Amino acid sequence: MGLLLAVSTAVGETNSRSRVRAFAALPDWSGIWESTTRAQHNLLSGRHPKGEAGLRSMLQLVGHPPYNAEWEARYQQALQNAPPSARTASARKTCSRAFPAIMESPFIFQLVVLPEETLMVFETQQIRHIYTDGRPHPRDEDIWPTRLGDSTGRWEGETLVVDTIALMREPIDPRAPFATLSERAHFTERLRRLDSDRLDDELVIEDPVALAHPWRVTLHFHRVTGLDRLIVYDCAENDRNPVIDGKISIAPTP
Amino acid sequence: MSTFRRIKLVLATATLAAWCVSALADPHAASRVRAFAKLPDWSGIWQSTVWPLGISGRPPGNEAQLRSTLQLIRRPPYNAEWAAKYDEAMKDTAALQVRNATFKVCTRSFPALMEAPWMFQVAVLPEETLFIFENGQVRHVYTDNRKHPGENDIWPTPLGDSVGHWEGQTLVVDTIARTASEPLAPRAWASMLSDRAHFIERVSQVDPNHLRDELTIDDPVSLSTSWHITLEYTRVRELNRIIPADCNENERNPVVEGKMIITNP
Repeated sequence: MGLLLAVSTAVGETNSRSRVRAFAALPDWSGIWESTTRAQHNLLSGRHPKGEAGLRSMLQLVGHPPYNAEWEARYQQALQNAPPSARTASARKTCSRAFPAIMESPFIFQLVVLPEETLMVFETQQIRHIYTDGRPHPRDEDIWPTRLGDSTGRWEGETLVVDTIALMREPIDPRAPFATLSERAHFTERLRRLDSDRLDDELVIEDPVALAHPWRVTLHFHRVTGLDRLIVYDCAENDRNPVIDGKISIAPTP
Repeated sequence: MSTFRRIKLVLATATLAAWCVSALADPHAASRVRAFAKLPDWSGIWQSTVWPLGISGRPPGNEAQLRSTLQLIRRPPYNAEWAAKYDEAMKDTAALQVRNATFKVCTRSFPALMEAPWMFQVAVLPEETLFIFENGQVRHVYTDNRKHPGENDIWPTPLGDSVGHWEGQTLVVDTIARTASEPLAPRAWASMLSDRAHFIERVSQVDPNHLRDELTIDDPVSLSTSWHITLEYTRVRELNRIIPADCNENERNPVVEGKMIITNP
């Protein structure tokens, strides 16, 4: 009987007091969020009202990185050698994005704030795990580059400070195909809620190999009010955006 | 009153005052914390007991042994019409062999996802419980009384739409709107359900290191009776974080002549 009681107690346990206390100290960022650049898109067409040029003028990660002399020369060389099609990338269809581009993407996301970690769950089935329980990045022999890197974080009051390393060497943004960073790139973000419906992400990119000085970018998000749940964005398999002659197209309304 | 008791009283009063202030400042936050306190802690990493994968990425034993433990590849309790369709599809052994030999599945639809080799985390929040898989798929089970979307706002998706409620420490999940054109699971290419399939799960923690999912599948179009399946999961102790399973872009499993292979280190 004593054994049965012990087992049932262990199984039926609710969150521990310490976990509840930790949860109570965290901000409530639940809900769905989107980049403010996406907010200006036409909901039906999925396109920016001012076209590609208007969109590019708002995107910060397509800007010119503050390269050092060596990387600047490489960057300019790549721009000169690229065919015009690569520069405009009109046939691009991107179903997922690497970090940091995903933070300035059109994809909506949920924030899940738990005592052990904060999750950014994107509609593209990409998830950023930001561990906030003091665990360090994996050691050198246990870490390898991934598209979202490895993120740890800590709370400074209601600000989430995120430290990200181990990014794969991909373009910084799909619209900046020649802007890359080295494998020693290091990202620090300070995420905080400005009010109930707005979040800011102050991103600092450092790279002792590629950049002359830290690159500071502030990304803005706001709450999505028109949806009550995150719907998976089925980029590869949908009947609305067939790829015809290498270009994504929009099928006529049924 | 002793000094020690006075200190305790002062501390208790201060704690109560602080709690009252925070509750008054944001009653939503206080009720959210109370709701969280009643929920179970299923944090950590879990995996199906069918797939105790080793360093090779393959389960121990051979394909036949694996098939003997997978439940969703078994014959569904079809009605006469769907049984005939199923038997007809099963006769095409050549087609089934090709599919078995060449399939590379980066994602799975529900319910196959719940019997997949991918590890997952369970995030239990007052509003919803999320099943977060290493391949990036996420099941959202809304537990705050929101309903399935209305008929005009819902369409079939691989994971369907899930809502749930808590019965004590058991999460009861109701799932509809699963894409009907997908087989029930990889390896069960002939097993289909209609778009009226309806899934009920009772997910509970049976001990600190085991979760159980009692799944009941109903389908008035294809099944003659309810189909009951119990899926088991064990806690993963060797990892302290989920590593994304990069199915499409990795250098270890190239697809050569239609078959996924494992390269040597």
